[in-house]
Amino acid sequence: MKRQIIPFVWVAPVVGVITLFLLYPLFQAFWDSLHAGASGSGRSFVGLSNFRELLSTGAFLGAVHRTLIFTLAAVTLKLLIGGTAALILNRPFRGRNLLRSWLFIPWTIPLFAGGILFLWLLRMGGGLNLMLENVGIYPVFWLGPDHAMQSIIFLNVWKGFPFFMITILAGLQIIPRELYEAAQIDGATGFQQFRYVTLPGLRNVILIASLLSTVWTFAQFENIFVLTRGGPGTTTETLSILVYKLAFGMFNLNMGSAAAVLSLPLFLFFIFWLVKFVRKESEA
Amino acid sequence: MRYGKFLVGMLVVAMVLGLASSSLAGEKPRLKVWLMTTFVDAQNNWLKAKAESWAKEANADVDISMLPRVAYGEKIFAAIEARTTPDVVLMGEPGPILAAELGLTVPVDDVVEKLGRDDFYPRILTALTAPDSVTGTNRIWGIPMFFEIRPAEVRVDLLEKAGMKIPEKPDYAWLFKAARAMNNPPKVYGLGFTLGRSYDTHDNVMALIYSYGGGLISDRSPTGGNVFNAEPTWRAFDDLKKLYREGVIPPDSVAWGDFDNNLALMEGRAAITINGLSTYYKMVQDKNPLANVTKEVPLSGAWVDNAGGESNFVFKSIPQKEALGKDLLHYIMKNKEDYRIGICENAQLYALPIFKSQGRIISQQWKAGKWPVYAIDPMQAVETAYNSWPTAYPINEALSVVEKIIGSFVIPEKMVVLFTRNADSKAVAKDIADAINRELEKTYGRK
Repeated sequence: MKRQIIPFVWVAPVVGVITLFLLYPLFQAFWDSLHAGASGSGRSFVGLSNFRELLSTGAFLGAVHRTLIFTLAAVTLKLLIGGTAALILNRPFRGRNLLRSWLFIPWTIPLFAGGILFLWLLRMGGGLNLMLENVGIYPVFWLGPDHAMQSIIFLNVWKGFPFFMITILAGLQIIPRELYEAAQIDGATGFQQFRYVTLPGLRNVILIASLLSTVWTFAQFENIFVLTRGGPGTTTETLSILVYKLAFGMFNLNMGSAAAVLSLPLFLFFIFWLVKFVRKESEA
Repeated sequence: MRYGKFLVGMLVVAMVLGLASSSLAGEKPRLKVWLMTTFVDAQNNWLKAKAESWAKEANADVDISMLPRVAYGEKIFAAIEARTTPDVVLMGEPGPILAAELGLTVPVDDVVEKLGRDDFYPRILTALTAPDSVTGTNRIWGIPMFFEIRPAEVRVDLLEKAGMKIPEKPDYAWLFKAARAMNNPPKVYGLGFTLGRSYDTHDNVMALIYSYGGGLISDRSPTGGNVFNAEPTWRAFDDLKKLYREGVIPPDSVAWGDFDNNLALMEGRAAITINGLSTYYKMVQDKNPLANVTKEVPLSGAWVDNAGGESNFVFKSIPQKEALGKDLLHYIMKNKEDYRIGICENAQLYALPIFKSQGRIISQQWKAGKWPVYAIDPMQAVETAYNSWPTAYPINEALSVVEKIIGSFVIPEKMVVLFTRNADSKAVAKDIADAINRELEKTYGRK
């Protein structure tokens, strides 16, 4: 009996933490989304009314649309830039270690600080426009309706590409050199080596990194809030910004929770594929 | 033997708990105080020192948390939701009316009486007046710390160059004329009017609408916001659109946050901004040469100031703590001269006194030349201004719906299409009025 209980005792703290910090808030959010009014005597059960309201005003679907565009663009660019940097850093050259450290710096800067940095850079009177003016180019309204989305994507890419760079670099290290030697002997060009040796060898790494990055990018809040607050208008109002606006701007935790709960299926979709992939790899 | 050890253990625990509770019984009462900090350190330090001095005199303890504005906003709402509120909030914004409508705060009418009701500017008393959630009687739910007026900050050097002067009673018509005269884009824009997701946008737009005879909310019914969708609002929107299209308002103002208009003035990009004296205060601190050529011009007629914003209020708890909280509020303001110097004068009159007796002294000081930055007597403008959040006009009461509308940037968010897509002013006004009505219905029901 004691032997049967002991494994549960060892696992109990972890389960407790997960329950407290993951499952309970999830349940509470779902519970809040089915109610209206502040907690206490003013609260009433309203069923799916909050969800109906969210879907009817168009604010939620607009935020989903913008979030998908933001996520797809940012993750793709991070993969391309990070992957390219990894391929360059995989070759030996003078100053490689120094360059690798520099390229990793954006990842180490706190999200909020990065947002402030870019705000100062991209403002109308900011650093970037000052440089453009010095070479005779008219300032660009980087945070305006036409470019605000590109600006937040750019910030996210700058912040996040080192993750892909380091992950892919690590993946490159474990591809056996013999495969490249064999390809060279067979007369493969550089591109063919990349296509038939490197890419297959990196497939799993790229997939996991992309899926993880997708989940993180989807939930991105700090940078967007600092840079644009979701504006101008609703140009950069992603799901996370919408949830914040509803919960802390409108002081409506119920609607905020409803928006968060409605976005859960999208998160679960990405996590489902991630878990499925990881499980498939570990079975293999 | 095993049970014996268990019993001994329980006895020890009981003894420790007993000792602890007996020692607690002899402890001083402890108030948890949240102090929302402004950018003026002198104000924050004065208020903190006052609270600590009160604690000594009242033989109590205060646990003061100094919170920057953004942190405070999220914390107070989370605390209200979780019912983990502090005992007292000092200079807090938002919160007082939201909490009052939920029945979480205590009315402070008695504190007002003790401080001398007749000495308060009447608008201060209405700033946080709202019906009691149980009795329905209007009560005062907090005491605003100060008036924060929003004058036009004008570059008088550029004004002179444009051949214009500040009149005796400057109004918006004069302001727009001056802005056009000083406009010289892209170096200098005539009017740095924030149009982005910012508290400044709401305040500045409502000031304009009120000055045109318009309103925000007329009553607590689901049609109370219809007063917004009216001619004064359409005219205000059309005027702003015109200024934007003419290039008098900077094109990037639709993306401005809370400090961009300040920066525009400090960097010399805008000839006029409309803001609290925070910008001027910063310019003086930084020894910015533009401070010498900037004048604060309170616009006569209807304009908005922040009475009801940074406010002191007391949350419900046990009667002893509620009484102590109110005593603290009284203590902070009872030495009115000290209050005037500590909160208002030390902030270069970014804050103006809420007491008529102290306002008269400020007026005398201005007449004697003490506050040259003000083009006209600032207290004169206070007499004619409207309150900003959480008060709405024409209802002239404080509503949590106002806090919600401002906090979620409803007006700036929906207004931006006026400038980016040349949208119709009536359509935008209706959209905003509908949003206000939805919130009124959600908050107060269909009655």
